Amino acid sequence: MTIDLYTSAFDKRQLDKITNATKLNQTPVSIMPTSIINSEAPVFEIAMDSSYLNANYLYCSTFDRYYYVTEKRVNTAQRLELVCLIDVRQSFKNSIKETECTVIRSEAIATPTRIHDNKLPVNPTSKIVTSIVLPETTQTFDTDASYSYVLTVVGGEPNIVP
Amino acid sequence: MGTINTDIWGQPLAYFTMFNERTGAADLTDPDFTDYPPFTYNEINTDWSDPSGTTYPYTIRAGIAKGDFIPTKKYPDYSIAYVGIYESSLPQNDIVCIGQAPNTPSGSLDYSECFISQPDSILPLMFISNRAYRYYRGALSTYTATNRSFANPLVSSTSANLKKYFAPNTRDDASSAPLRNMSYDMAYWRLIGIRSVIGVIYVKYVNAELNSSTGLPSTYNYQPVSLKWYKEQTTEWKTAHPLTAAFLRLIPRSNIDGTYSVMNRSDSCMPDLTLNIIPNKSVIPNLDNYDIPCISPAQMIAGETNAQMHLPIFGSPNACISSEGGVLNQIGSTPSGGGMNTGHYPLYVGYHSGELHHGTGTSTNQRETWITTDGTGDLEWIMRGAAAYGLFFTDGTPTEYPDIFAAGNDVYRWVNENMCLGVVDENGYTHGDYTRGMANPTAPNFTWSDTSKSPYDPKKPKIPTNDYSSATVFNNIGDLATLTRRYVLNSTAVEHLGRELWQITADMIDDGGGGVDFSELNEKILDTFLTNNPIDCIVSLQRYPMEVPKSASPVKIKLGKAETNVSAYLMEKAAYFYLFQGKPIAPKFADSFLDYEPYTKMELYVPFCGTIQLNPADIIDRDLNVQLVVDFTTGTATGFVMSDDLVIETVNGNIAIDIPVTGIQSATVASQLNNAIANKSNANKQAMQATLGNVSVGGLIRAVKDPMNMIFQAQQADIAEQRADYELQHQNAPVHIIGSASAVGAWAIDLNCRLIIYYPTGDIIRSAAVPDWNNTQLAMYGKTTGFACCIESSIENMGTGLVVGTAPDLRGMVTDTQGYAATASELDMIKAAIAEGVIV
Repeated sequence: MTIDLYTSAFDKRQLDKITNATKLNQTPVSIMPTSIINSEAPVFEIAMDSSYLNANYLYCSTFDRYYYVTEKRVNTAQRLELVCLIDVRQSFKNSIKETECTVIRSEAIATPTRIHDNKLPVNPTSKIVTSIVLPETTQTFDTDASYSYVLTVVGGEPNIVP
Repeated sequence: MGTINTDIWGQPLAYFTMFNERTGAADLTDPDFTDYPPFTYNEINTDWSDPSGTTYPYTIRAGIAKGDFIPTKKYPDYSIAYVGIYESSLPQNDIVCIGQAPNTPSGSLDYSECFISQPDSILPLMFISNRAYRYYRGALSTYTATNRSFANPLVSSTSANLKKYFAPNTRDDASSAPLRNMSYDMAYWRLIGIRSVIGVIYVKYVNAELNSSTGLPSTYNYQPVSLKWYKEQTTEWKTAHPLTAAFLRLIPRSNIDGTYSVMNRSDSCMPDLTLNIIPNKSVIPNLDNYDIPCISPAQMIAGETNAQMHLPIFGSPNACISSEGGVLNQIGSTPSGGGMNTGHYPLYVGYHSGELHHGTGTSTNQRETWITTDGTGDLEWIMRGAAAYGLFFTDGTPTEYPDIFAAGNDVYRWVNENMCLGVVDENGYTHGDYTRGMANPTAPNFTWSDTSKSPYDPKKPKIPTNDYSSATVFNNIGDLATLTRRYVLNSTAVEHLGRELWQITADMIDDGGGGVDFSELNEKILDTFLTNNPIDCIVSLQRYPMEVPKSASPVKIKLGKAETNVSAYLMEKAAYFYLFQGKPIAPKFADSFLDYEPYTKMELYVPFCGTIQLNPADIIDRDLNVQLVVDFTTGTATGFVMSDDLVIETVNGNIAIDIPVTGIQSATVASQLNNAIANKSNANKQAMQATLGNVSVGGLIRAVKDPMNMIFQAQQADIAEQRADYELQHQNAPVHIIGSASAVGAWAIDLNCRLIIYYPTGDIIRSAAVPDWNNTQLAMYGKTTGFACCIESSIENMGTGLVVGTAPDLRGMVTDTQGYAATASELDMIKAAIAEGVIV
């Protein structure tokens, strides 16, 4: 069983954390398990090397899994214990990329959509007031119109208006 | 096998020719085709023309069914369609045929599939593909009863243009463009009483062992057998015996009832099929994602020979039968020398699991092509294909299932465990689903016995169920007769009339030098004006902000019976329409949720009517129009707010200024206003008392003791004040105003419609880190949180960056780089990771 140690400044959500990571060991570091190793939360014990204290990420070839280093301990035998937790994103990167799902958020869309986004911080109280005029398309009103009075009287002959 | 009902692929072959089902012979002189099951259609296509300009003596209309033109995903250019002839002026003895016609009417008809294709019939029997053109020749042809020669009613049988008639708007041989059927406004309706027949599924097989050296059957004896019989054979047997197309033989009820021998059933008893008809529009699903193991996909339909009354089961494993003279099932040949026997165009079969064999020998038999299959995977497929007809059917023969086929009309036959029923949904569609045995009564069509029992009227499709309309209809306003007389005046005439009102009674005083007889004068005035004051003849005087439509010539204004010296015009229209038209309202924030409520609000000001709130979702990307109707009778205006052409809101107001004419009118209005103001004052006072009473020491004590009573008093006072407000606002007699305060006020402001929009400001994103709305901050938001969406996609297809989604069940789908599957807990973590977000 061998492991590779990395130091990396990553966002946990990144699928690929290796490309920009710095590998700390020149050759794979051998592991001789002395107890049962859990593939999802293993503890790897290796020979103490001060450069390894900078490791925050590692790859285990036997499990073909990538792990976050969550804790480092030095035991009484002056050996370095790396407490790890599996990173499924890197470990199953290709399968995850091919996964068909209902995408509910996306960075690539690059703009708010019609889907209501309750996480977007919006100030609803501050408004810009503007207006659009709908012009008349038939004829215009005229407050100075000449024949604009309508007189209704009793008398004469009632008229029928269409 | 999923829901596959049919597989459609490859080259079409319409090889439906006519023969006499009554006699089974090629005697086409029998004109009695009325016994055939009727077909009808719901739409027609008249796109039949003659590009060559040839005049032909017949009217023939045909087309392709629209709803059944279904391209497959894998082979999008290969599709199924139905074709039919539904009107023809051809003499009935000159039978219209669809498809490849044999060259001679005698001796070779027995291999031709036959379905009635007489006028007013539709054939669900045509496949179209982009390689179809070769087989269009002769697609539409006739036999004449007199000379028995192959004759085409449109053009010569050798004309390449014939295909244009057959499938209008498709291409001809010379074009490399994919053939696309464009004349698709027709669907067929199969009309068969579901209890008038019982379908029996048959398949055909080659009754011979394959020759180990040649790979060919040693004999060519195709035998129809029931599906049950075939299912009971061993796998080895099936492998050795090529299976051909399945078909559904319909056993008429008259046979069942003992009119005819069941065991020696004769398909000549087809008249029963005309009984108890039902309409049934069948959807033929496509075959998706199935490999077609053919280099040159082709197809054929039911390969039954010596056809009697049967229906091809689409999607059943269709055997490929090559064409060669003198061999059974010789189809697909092109005419040569007026015939089809000598051509050699092997028809490859789309077949999802079989193995294609195509002989390359020198003899005609060796050039046959066929499919071998073990058949085990096809049986359910065949059952579903049979179910697509929506009939009762079974996979066994009367001998195998005597309970079903026994004479009489025992109802239990329909729930026999070996009886299946193709389910017809409420819209008249079948989907290959079927029920069996006691479940049969659950099918909607179980109780249908005739057309009237079907909930579906093919002439009135139920889809869509609602009669939607996107436009409001405006009516013409008819003539409006009034009991008064209305004049249109200008301001000079109004002033003139005012003076005339004082003068008109003076002119009536004629003392003749003997003094005024006031009694006579009073009687004369009453007779003239019906009152003692001529001004009381004036009902109203209103002013409008427009030139009021008027008559061409002026007349003298009459008050009562007296004619004044004032000239005016008669009113020409009772109402007037104004249209305010707006352009489509464009969204401001890239058509995002910010363009809609509650972030963006919209109000519409309508002149004379006031302001109403509109929902941006009703306006954005649509034309906002307002139709304002001015009523010259009441002085009101009604605004109809339209989204495109549909009225979505109405608003009312007062457009006319009512000019007080008499002291009585003015006093009445003033009195009403005073009363309303007094009521308002009292209501205010009561409200104050109710409130102050409760904040006094005593009131506080009462409130503590009886808080509900305090609230009740306040509510009552508040209601009284609101009522008083309402009364005050509605005392502008004679016209009630809703929207605008008064006509004078409305005249003073905008006379155009105006959409007022309240947009969110620039600081939409409000935080210390991202105070402003700009691209940088948007990008940051996308990187940290992602923009809300709802898209079905693979994660990698969403592009780079953050993706948050809800993943389906991933079991067995996720592997690491070495191909090992993820554990159950890892799968849960992966689902959680996708839900939290992954950065690609």
